[in-house]
Amino acid sequence: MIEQNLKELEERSIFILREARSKFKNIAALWSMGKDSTTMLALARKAFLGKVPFPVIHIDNGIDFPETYKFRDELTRKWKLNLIVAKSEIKPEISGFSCCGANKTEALKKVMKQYKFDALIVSIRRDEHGVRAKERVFSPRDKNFKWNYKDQPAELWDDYSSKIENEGHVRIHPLLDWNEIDIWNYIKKEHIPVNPLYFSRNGFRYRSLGCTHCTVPLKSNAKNVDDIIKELKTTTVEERSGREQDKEKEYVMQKLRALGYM
Amino acid sequence: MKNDEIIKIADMLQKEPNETNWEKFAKALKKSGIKYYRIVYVSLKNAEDLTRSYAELFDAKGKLVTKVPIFKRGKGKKVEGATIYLKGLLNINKW
Repeated sequence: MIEQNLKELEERSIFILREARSKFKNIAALWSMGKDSTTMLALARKAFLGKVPFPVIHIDNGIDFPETYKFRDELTRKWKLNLIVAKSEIKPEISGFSCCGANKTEALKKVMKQYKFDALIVSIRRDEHGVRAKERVFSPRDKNFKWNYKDQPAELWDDYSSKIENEGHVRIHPLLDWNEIDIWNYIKKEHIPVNPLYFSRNGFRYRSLGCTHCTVPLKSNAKNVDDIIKELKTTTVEERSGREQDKEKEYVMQKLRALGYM
Repeated sequence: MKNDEIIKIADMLQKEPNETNWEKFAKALKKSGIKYYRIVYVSLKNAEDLTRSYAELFDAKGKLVTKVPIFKRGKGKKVEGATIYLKGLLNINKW
C-alpha cells in the first residue's frame, strides 16, 4: 500500500475545508464515528482553531454498534460538537441495497431539508471503492440527491465549483486523495481517538464500520494503531470486504451513490 | 455480581420491547456483571427480520447470562433498532 506525505495531504484537506466554509452559507458534515470521518473532524479542528464550526450529522438507524454510540457521545462532549442525530426508520423491504438507499438516504434528505444545508462534507476516499474514485472534491447533487457521474465539473488547479443547480446541494470530499494507511498514520501522528471496534478482540477486528447487520469482523491480531499500520503494509484483503452492501450485486455502490447515498 | 434483575428484565423485553422496559434494562445493565455482547441476526429481508434478531449477553468470564431483542416497538407497529441500550458492553462477534 502506497504511503503518502501526510503534511501535504493535511494541508490540502485543510484548504478544501476552508474553501467549503467560505463558499457555502450553511454547511454540515456527516459523521459515522468511523476512522475517516473522525479524522476529517480532527482536520476541521486544525483548520478552524480547535473548533468544528459546523454541525455534524449522524444518520442513526438504531442498529449501530453499542461501542459506536459510546464513542459518539464521548467525543461529542470532548470536542464540543454540534451533533444532529437523524433517525432513520426501519421500514418493510429493507434488505441490503434498499436498507442503505431507502432508510439512510431518506433520513439524510429529511435532515438536509429541515436545516436547509447547501453543502455536506463527506469523508469518502478514492481508494475505498471504484465508484468513489469517480468523485470530484466538490460534487454537485440535484434536488433529489441524484449524482450524475457522467457529467461532472472539471477541477483544474484546485479550482472548485460551488455552483448549486436546481435547489440541490454540493458534497465536499476533503479526504478523497487519502489512502487507508495514510488515515492510520495520521491517527497515530495526531493521537486521534478511534472507535475501539477497529482493534482486535479474540482474533477479530472491524476494518470498515457500518451497522451491526451489514458489517462483519475480519481475522486480525492488530491490537493497536501500530499493529494496524503493520498489517496494512502486507494485507491482500480489501478494506470493505466486511461490508455486505458491497457484495450484494454488481455496481450496487454506484447505484446507491447515484441515488444520494454517502 | 448478581444477574437476577437483568435476567428478569430481559424476559420482560422479550415479551414487550417497549421504551419503558428498555430504560429499566439500561439502568440494570450498569449494576450487572455483563461485559460482552454478540449480535445474532437473520438476513434483513423485511422489517420482521429485525424482530427475530437478538443479542446474547455474557459475563466477564464469557458465560452466557441472557438474551435480549435488539429492537424497540414504538406506537402502532413502528419498529426501531435498540442497540444503543447495550452501550458500555464489548463486542465479541465472530464469523
